[in-house]
Amino acid sequence: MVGQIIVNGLLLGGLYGMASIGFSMVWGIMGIINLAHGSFIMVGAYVTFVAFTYFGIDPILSIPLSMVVLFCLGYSVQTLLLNRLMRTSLLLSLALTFGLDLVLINLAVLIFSADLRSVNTAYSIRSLAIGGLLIPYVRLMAFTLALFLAGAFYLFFNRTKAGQAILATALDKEVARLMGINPFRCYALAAGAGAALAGAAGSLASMLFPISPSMGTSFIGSVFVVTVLGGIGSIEGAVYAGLIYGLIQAFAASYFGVNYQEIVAFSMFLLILLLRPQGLLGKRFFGEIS
Amino acid sequence: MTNRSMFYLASVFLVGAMSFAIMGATARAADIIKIGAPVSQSGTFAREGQLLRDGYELWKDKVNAAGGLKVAGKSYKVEVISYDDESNAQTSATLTEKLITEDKVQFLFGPYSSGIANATAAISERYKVLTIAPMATANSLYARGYQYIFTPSPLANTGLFPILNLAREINPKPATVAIVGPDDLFPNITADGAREYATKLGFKVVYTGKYPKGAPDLSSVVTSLKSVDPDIVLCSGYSQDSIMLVKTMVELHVKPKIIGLATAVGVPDFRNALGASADDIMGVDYWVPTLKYSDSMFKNSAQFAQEFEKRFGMKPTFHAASGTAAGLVLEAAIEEAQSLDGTKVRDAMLKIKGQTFYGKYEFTSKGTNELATLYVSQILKGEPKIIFPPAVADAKYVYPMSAAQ
Repeated sequence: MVGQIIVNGLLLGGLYGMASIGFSMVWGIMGIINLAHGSFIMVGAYVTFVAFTYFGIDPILSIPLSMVVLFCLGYSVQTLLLNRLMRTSLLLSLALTFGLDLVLINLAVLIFSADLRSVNTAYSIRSLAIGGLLIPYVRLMAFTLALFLAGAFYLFFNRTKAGQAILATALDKEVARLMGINPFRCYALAAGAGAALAGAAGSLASMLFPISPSMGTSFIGSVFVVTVLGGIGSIEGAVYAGLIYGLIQAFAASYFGVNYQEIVAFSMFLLILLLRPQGLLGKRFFGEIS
Repeated sequence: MTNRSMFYLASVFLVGAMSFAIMGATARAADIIKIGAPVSQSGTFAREGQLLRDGYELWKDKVNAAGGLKVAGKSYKVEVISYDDESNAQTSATLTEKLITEDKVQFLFGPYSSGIANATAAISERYKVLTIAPMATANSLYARGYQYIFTPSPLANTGLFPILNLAREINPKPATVAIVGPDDLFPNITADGAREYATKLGFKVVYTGKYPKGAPDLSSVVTSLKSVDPDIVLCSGYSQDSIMLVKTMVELHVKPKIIGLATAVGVPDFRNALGASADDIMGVDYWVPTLKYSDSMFKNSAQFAQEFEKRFGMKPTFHAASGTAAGLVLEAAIEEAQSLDGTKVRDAMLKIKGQTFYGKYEFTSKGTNELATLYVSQILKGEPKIIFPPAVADAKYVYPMSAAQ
């Protein structure tokens, strides 16, 4: 039983981690708390649903597609709307992304109705049995892909020019500008990349959970906790925090009852804010050299 | 003439004109029975609310087409005034007050959901306006001593009873029961009711679990279920979490002999989402189109379903059926009372006994229907069939369920 709890927690935690990376990056780099992040995940799930149901594309193969769609969405939202707000207050960006969230949810209701949808593949209910432990294939795949994509994004930020430029902008916008970096393009790129990861998370989530226009709402709370726990703006932090969060939830649910899993998780959130406000791997400034 | 006397003259004239208008209105209104219906047309309950209102409308149309209601030798046409309460209890209460005081309705049809009816019942009770609330079934609503609210539908706590009744008759009888569901008003009432009833029937309740409403993942619930390995798993939740529960149970190889859900399994959402894993799952229905009960308007539920579809272009659900049944019950009470006086019709509600296509009825002084029953369907090879009670069953149930793999 304990083994199974650990497996459940880790597998789900991987997905949480991946769902949080984009949110964390956008927050860390631009100081924008993107409340529409949950809806980005939902859009990704619908992209997979449409690709699977109408075009017969396997959910795994539809991940690049939903990443492209979401990249465009994230990029254009940033250029058309959020870049204009960058110099104003935090409250304004909260209001804007909250509104965007409502618009996306209602668009989804309009297009797809509020009915529950799902993506059922031949392998979607099978599990791998290892010595009494059951590992559902889909969850295992979601977990592996989540780690893989997180790794890819880590490399993107630390090994590519574009990634370095984004980090430099986050660190000091004015100096970055002096070095010939266009900060607004960097912001748009970062927002697009963050949204693309949300899209991939949505595609993976579509195989695990029923798809509905409001599905993102159940994610956003967890994403918040994972981001703060991992340290705002830290990719590897989000992954570790996702795994820890998944484990804590799984154990809390099994030993105290499922009703307590949120209480335990959010108590942990408060504790972190008190003891280590910068999170597990966070630094006081994003991009600070350690 | 001074300004002041001009004013008096004008006022007298105005008052005169107004009373004339009112007299005219009452004279015209006299042969119309007005029924108010604050029902959600937008917001969370938009879909259910619209179906419920369509049910009310169908009854009204049929009554008027047949010449209206005869009360004490006089024919009355029926008018249903419905307003959108936006799925908001406060709005619904305000609209109820408006319906009673401004639109002068004589009776009310209830809103969708117990939460909203909780707010409107306080108002209708104060004005002593009889309300038939077919989609407000929380037990607490009928435990307050309210005299003017009645429901023809079974109460929330009985939501899983028919599955337990079915299980009781199986030989050898399954022994252990686990009950799970979201931590929310209605599911909690259903789960608590099921736990008490299961114990009463001699089952051993080995696990009860509540999860937060909208919980993103249920693998920990299912892991706990696996460790107790029950014969029967009951879930008091809604479609979304029931789907997730079943999916996770298949993934983690939890194989009870019965999976029973408090929600209807016949809805396409459910079958589409689960595919072959939906096979042999049982669900509870308030109403199904194969019921054979008849009344003055419909010879059976099939006829109701057909006429509803013809009128509204879609198949009816239990929400719609209960709405039409509410009209039929009110009609029976008005005929019994031979009066339109709210209190007299209310007293008649306690005397009437009979059936509509929706089921049998006999009301208690609390406003509940003693004879209300629920039906169990099971998905057999992808098709939902009624399996219980035997009187209305159109297929033999499958037990134990073949674990879909």
